[in-house]
Amino acid sequence: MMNQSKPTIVWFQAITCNGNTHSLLSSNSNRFELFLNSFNLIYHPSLTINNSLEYILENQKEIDFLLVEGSISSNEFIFSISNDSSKNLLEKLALRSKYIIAVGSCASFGGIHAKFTQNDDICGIKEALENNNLQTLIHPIINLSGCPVHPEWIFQTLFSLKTFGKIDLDEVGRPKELYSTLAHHGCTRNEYFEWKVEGNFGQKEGCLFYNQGCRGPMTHSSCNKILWNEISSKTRVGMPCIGCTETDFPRNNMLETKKNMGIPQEVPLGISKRAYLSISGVAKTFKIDRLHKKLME
Amino acid sequence: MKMSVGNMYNYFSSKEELAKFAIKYSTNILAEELREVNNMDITSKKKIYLFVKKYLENVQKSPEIIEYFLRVYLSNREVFKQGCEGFLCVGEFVTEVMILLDDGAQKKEFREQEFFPAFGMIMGCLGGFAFLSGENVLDKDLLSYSDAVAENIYRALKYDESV
Amino acid sequence: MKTVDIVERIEGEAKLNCTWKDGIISDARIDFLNFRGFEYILEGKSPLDALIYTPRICGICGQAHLKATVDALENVYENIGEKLEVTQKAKLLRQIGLNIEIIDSHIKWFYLFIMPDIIKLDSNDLGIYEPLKGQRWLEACKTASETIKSLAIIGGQWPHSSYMLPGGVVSDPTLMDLVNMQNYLHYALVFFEKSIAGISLENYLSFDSVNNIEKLNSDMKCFKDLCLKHNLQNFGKSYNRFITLGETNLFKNGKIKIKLVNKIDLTKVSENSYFTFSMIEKENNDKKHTWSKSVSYNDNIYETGPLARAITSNRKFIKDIHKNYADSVFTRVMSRLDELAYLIDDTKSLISKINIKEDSFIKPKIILSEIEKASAISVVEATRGSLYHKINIEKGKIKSYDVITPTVWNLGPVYKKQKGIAQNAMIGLPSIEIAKIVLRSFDVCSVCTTH
Repeated sequence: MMNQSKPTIVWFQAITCNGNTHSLLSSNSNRFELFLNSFNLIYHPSLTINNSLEYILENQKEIDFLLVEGSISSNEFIFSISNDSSKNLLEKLALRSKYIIAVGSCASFGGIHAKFTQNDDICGIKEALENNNLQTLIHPIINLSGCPVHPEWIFQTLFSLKTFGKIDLDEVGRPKELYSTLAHHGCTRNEYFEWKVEGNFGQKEGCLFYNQGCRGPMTHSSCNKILWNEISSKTRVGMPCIGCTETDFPRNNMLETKKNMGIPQEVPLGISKRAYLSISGVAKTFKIDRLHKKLME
Repeated sequence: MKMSVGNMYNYFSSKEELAKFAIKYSTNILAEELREVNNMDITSKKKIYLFVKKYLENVQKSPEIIEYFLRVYLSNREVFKQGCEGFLCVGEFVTEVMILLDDGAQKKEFREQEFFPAFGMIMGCLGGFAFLSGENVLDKDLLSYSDAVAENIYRALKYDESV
Repeated sequence: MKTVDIVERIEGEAKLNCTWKDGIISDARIDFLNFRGFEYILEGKSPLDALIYTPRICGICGQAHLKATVDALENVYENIGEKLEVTQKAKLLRQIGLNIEIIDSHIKWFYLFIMPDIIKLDSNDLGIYEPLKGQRWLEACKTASETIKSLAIIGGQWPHSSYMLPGGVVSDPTLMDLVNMQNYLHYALVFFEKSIAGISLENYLSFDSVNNIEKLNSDMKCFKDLCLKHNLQNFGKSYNRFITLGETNLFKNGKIKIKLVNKIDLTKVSENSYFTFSMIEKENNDKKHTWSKSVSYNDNIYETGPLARAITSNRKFIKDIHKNYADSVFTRVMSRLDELAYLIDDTKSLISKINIKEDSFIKPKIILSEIEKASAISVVEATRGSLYHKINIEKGKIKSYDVITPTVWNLGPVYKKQKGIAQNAMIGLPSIEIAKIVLRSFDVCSVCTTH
């Protein structure tokens, strides 16, 4: 039975840059404190000092929430933690955990580190645990993809699980309530997207979809709904979305839009190319003066 | 259409209105036929051949559309500003040409180039040929030129391995 | 007697192997056993994609890698005779972003990665410095998360934005954005004055003598008292040789072996893999014990980081402390906190210099994917010291990409019979706790070391 007052959390760092940890530390301080007071974070390799990983493995018989940051490999020579491979450690921890949450794209799908193909078995935690019989697990593995993850996605997932016991996941294991909207929803440049006003780097105006490779309309995330660092987002300031919550991250040529004969290769999610081109054609014939001027002269 | 000229003006306020409607009507039919071609599971090369054939069939069936396009639209372009907004009139047709080009480029049957030269190439060929037809200078039946025109268009667009 | 300890809370982990004789460390070896292969990952990628990849070498110093990448790419343009035009505004926005990341890192490092350990030398009750619970620990996290918002205004988010690219930056801040940036940065200033130094910033910046230490209050006083109590002003000394490769308005490049020389020739920087594991099976042998390489300048090894920067930039307060306490733990940590103060002051000034009417970005005329063959080097002063990137482009793609991080300078293995900087600092230490503190004093970034 889960301790209703303070569920235990073990945060395991595998093959990672630690970006998700620093994203966590950049959260709203009240929310961070509430999180620390509502859960018992018994081990985090960057934060806690009382227990080593070895100690946890030997003494912690049950883990309520296992949070994993980083991708997994069985190759101990290339990557070893606490004298063992990340895969072995993951298995040992998983086999005593009730909930397992992949924090970030590397743990979810392999991410950036899976591109190190000279090590042929780097993958996300779901794949790494495929052949394990996870008897203590009471919920499917949850993928909080993102490079890095947004701290609120961690808090809201944990608090939801604490309250309701389960959370609805999409077909790649991400909580629907966080990943059913697109990064595109809520971007302050939406009007430029509507009227097909192309953007450029270094400007407040214009849409970054046409030339700068913005994946906003094809990427599931809450980035323009739950703002980054509480105040901003990449697309708002002029950096294109690079689709880091999706399974195909990282892609190639992330700062440019792939086009065939001037036509974007990919169009917004679920919209047929015909529909997109029809709408674009119509929008493009109307040149809205206001939208071609600077916002502030 | 078996209607007297006078009767037509009961439905349209002017020659220009009639022209607008005619163009929109005919290009919608053409757009539908092209959409059928685009949706076929055949090579982009074959699509061009079919595309050209359908276009010329339409020209042959309704030559008066060309008349109105060339004589009324081009000479009264500003009339069409309201409610036609230029490209908007032929929007669906243009969309199908874009789909054809995009598909061919993705399949690497057509070489990568900017959109407008490719589009201009196709429309120039077809429009020019329709013009010739309207001028009655062609010595053979219009449709017999279909393959030749298609071949020219295809060669201009096709993927070049050596580059 | 030999001991082996895994040290955590160093942005990853490392293995500390010590040999003891009569209760004192007679020899030490530091192993980094995690390799992620970034240099392999970058091969064959498009040059601009490096802007997305390199920040992900590290979650705490990603923007330093971003700056090094953008500088390297712009140096490529310069090397092919097509030097890019970058406005002063863009240059300022880049430096400001980098500064803010360093400020954030220094704050987190002090309270999360070393202060708890120093307090523990004295008492198991960490009080306000207790991780996860202590008031000061939480305050430090709050300060870091408030301050970093200043960077999010121009970067969109932190960690991991790629707001810098060849030609400038992506963002175009308004005057209000600049005011907001100053407001968020002010948070760090207040924290410094109230909790770190216990005196006004202005007062602190006037310090120029070791006697000024007496004027410090709050946490720096607490730290100083504990150091003197546990002899940390004597422990942790190494070769007392420093190098700073990069140059900014705040930091001067230079090296000091015996005498300070303010000229750096980057071609003299060279990596060595004698003790480093290889991905090529047959190259591995018993001698190799770590994934970290070693790095030298003109065949000598040096310490890099805030202490090196304070020395090569001639900052009087630290120089005087150094005169008295050499390159001990005490000096090293003081120099980091000192740098924090100067960075806060410098960044405030840089923000005020921005002219928003300038362009943020000027599009390069040539695209990198059209370049047949070119290469370039860049150096950036990152949180932990000098960061070096070298890019080789061939047929429009990255042929090779070499990264030398500051922790490689400090934590690298033996180089030509000379023990590494931190390795050498271990010799003569009386306990494993002190040894770990000495290690921490270098502000180790394990993930960066091996990338």
